[in-house]
Amino acid sequence: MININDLSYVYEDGRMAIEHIKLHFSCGEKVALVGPNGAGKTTLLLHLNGILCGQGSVRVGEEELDDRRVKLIRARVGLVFQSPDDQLFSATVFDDVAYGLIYQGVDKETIHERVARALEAVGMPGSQNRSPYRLSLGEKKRVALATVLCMQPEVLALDEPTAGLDPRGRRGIINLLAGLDQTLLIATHDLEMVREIFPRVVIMDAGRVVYDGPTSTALADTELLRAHGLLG
Amino acid sequence: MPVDLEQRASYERRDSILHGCDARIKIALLFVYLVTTALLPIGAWVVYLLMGGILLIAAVLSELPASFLLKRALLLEVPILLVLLPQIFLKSGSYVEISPWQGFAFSLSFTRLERVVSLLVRSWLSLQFAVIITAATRFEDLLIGLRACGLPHLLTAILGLMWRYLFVLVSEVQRLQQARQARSSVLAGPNWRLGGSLPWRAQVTGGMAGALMLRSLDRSQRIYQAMQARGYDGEIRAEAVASALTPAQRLQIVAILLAGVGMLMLANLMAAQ
Repeated sequence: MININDLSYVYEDGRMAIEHIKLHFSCGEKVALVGPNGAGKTTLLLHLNGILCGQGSVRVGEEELDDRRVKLIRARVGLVFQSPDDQLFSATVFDDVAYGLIYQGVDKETIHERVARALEAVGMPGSQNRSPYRLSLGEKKRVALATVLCMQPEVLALDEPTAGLDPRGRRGIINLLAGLDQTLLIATHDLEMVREIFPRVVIMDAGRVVYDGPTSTALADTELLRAHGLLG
Repeated sequence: MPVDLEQRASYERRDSILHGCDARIKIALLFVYLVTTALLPIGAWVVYLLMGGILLIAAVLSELPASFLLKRALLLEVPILLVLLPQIFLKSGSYVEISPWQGFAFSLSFTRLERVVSLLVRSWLSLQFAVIITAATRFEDLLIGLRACGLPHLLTAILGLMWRYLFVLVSEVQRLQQARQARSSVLAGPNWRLGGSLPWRAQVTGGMAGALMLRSLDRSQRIYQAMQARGYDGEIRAEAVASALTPAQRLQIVAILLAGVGMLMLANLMAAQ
């Protein structure tokens, strides 16, 4: 489904954000990207949607991510930013969720139907007319997820979906993610969530992949976790 | 992602003589240069050349690339050019009528042309010098220098906050644009109306402007509270302010002032002849 080959990205100040990343994600796979702050998880996710373009290649299905195909690939890979405030930019929840569909030229009836379905899926039915600005953090996170769910992407790339949520909000998001059928890539520090719903984990540190394999093996290796800042 | 917009916007880090110079001296130099250039008479070409020489020395001392300095100053010069250019077509002083084809004629004023070129040269000199000084001085140092030169602390505080919040605004705009970009996708296949209608795009942009205002207000408020929590009371403090000007630095400022007066006298003498 997604092939990342020798991907590197350098920040404007010359620091290496990610270095020679090689990863393959299969269709329907649920993978967690974990690692300390600054490991390059967010940078990697931003490459999947073409927000950042580093050296190397990213293929989604049969398509290589480049300037010509980036908009096609964005329809296939839905990206949810870590802060929902970065994701939501419209005056109402409906406008925000419908944005991607209107941009794609989907007809009105389908838009209304898909927006309602996406909001229901994230547990926010009937919130179409609310202002995103007035929502709680948990609600914003749910609406942010709805903004990409309604576009029915094949891949969902989520950055820290449970960060900053109270236990109930966190549980709600975990249940929601567990029930999704799409290929799921999540950057997170929430190892409990990783244990619960992700069979495969990729550990990143200092821009490199240091482990890629079964979650159960990684989480049982306390030395590995400690060495890469995942245990206190 | 660390994007050092605030620093990149004006200041260019170097270890040059001009960078190392005290901000107060640079402000005095800039002030004298701007006032002198503004007071120079029309058509004082020799003095313009001398002022250009000073500019060149400052540029060399700053060790900044010429392309970088020219790009910034010429960009600022464009609106001035657009305002001044129509003046040369006024029927004023000595002028000629030009009729390139029948039924179309315009006048070209030589008096105005000299005035316009003089103003353009002077405005470019001023802008270019300001660009060099600001590129060689951190904004914080400029504020400290302005404060030391007697600008009321309320004004320096407002300038400082404006500068700070300008980049808060820019970073918010970048985030909004990124979010919009991430969901601006197309579906494979024909017959899809890409990008939505123009009114809808305008509506989205309007919504983004509203969101930007609300978020910027919120964020600015949080920044201000954080500043207050660390003792900010509207006064900018820095080590540089505590040290008084040395006799050599005082002498430098006096020399700069005298050089400015000298230039003006020379220009007026030449104009009188």
